[in-house]
Amino acid sequence: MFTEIFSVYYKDLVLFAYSFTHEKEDSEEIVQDVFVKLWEDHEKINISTSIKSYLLKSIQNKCIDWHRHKKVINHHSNYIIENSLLYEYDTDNYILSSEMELIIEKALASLPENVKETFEMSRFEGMKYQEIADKLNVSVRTIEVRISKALELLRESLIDFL
Amino acid sequence: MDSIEEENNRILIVRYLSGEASPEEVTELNKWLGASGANLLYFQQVKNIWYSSNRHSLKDLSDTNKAFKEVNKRITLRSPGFNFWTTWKKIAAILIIPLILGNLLYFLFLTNNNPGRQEPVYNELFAAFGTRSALKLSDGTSVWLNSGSSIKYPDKFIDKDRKVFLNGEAYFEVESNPEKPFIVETSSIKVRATGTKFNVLGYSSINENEVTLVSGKVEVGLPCSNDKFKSTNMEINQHLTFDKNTGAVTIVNEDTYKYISWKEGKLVFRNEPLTEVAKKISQVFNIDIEIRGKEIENYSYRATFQDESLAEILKLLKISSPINYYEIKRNPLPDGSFPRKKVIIYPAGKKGI
Repeated sequence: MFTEIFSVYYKDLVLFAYSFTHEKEDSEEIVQDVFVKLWEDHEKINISTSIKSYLLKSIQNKCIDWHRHKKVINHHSNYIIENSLLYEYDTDNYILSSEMELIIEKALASLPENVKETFEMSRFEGMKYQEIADKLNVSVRTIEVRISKALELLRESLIDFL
Repeated sequence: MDSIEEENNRILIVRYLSGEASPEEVTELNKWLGASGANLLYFQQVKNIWYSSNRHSLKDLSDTNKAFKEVNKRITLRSPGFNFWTTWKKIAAILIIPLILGNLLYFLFLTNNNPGRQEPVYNELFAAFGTRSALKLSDGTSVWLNSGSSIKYPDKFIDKDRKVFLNGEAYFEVESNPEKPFIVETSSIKVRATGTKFNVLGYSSINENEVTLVSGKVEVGLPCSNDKFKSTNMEINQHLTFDKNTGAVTIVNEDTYKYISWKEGKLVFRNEPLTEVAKKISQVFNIDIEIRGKEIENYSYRATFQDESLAEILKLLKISSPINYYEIKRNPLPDGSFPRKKVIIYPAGKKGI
């Protein structure tokens, strides 16, 4: 059971942690810590929602602690933790990467071609806005508008999942 | 909400997500999020789409099997205590040891349960103005900390590198360990060494960061665009200066003694202009020095002071050159504290108004 949960969720959870920390190794460590804790406390924990939601919530808390720790050793990132609203998710309704992969193709197909192209360059290929702008020969602002358009349209078509 | 404002907020979100928003923009976004539950929900949903559609970072994640082995190892490492308790519980039940004792033991074991990988505890040492400190780190590295400087270091180095954080000036004699590089981070630069002697200067309040290499090798990481660092190798007897405002880097071959003599309580000047001398003295004694009169600014000094007080140093400077000085009388600020001491240096024979 533990093995199954681990293999199903591990990568998704690392990506989730990555959205907070932007550091791969730290994200992996945070997720591994949460699994060790899950194993040790499995008799004590009372999971009231779903295992997915429990894991997401634990990782979110650990990531916020991680930022606090970073703040102690690196006071340049002060503003990050103070703006805490930016950090939390509605963990009960979070769509994991692997789940997103299954539903996003269809949603993307309904976007205007240039919006879709820009979004894919950013999210699938990892290009920066400036790089996309240079490649498509448009302004960065245009790219930002297209990305925001894409996110808005995707949100509308994925609203049942979110 | 009118549509221009709406568009602006959406652009703000998009810039935040790509990590390109400025601190001001982040604050503005945070304010907008706090304005309504609908704003917050919108943001969370869009953020979810953004991160979950990320396919490029997925590629080089370490594989699940390896991670699982890692977690398994940590679980097994810790299980003896756990098993011991389970066994003990059975014996206790057989022997009918009073429940209360069992509870007590249970409590003891629970609280003794070590958190597997112990996080290092960070200590901070601050050398007060006009004083110096020296310390030895857990790896054997020696650190001398100059006046008004602070260093943060872990009680033990468990990560794959040995990292310390410096605000101010410090001299390091690093214990050699090629497998675990020693890294000094200031507010703008990083210095990476394996086993060498070097001096780092980087006050967060001062633009210039300086590195002086006395022996061995170091690699200095200087910030360039997009939070990235480009690295520069230094050789023995080189002195590097980096201006964090302009990004200018200069490396010169020089007698390194004057840069590291502070650790023996010496202030060494080798043909340096009064402006440099004043800068150094003001750093060491935490005072402000103002030079009034262009004609004396470039007057050069060659001097070595050892553990002398500020009054003595000023007196010696006055004797050896055509300058005069006075101290500004300090009046308490509205909150009852006193401002920094201020000294005015002016050409001898003139009035130091």
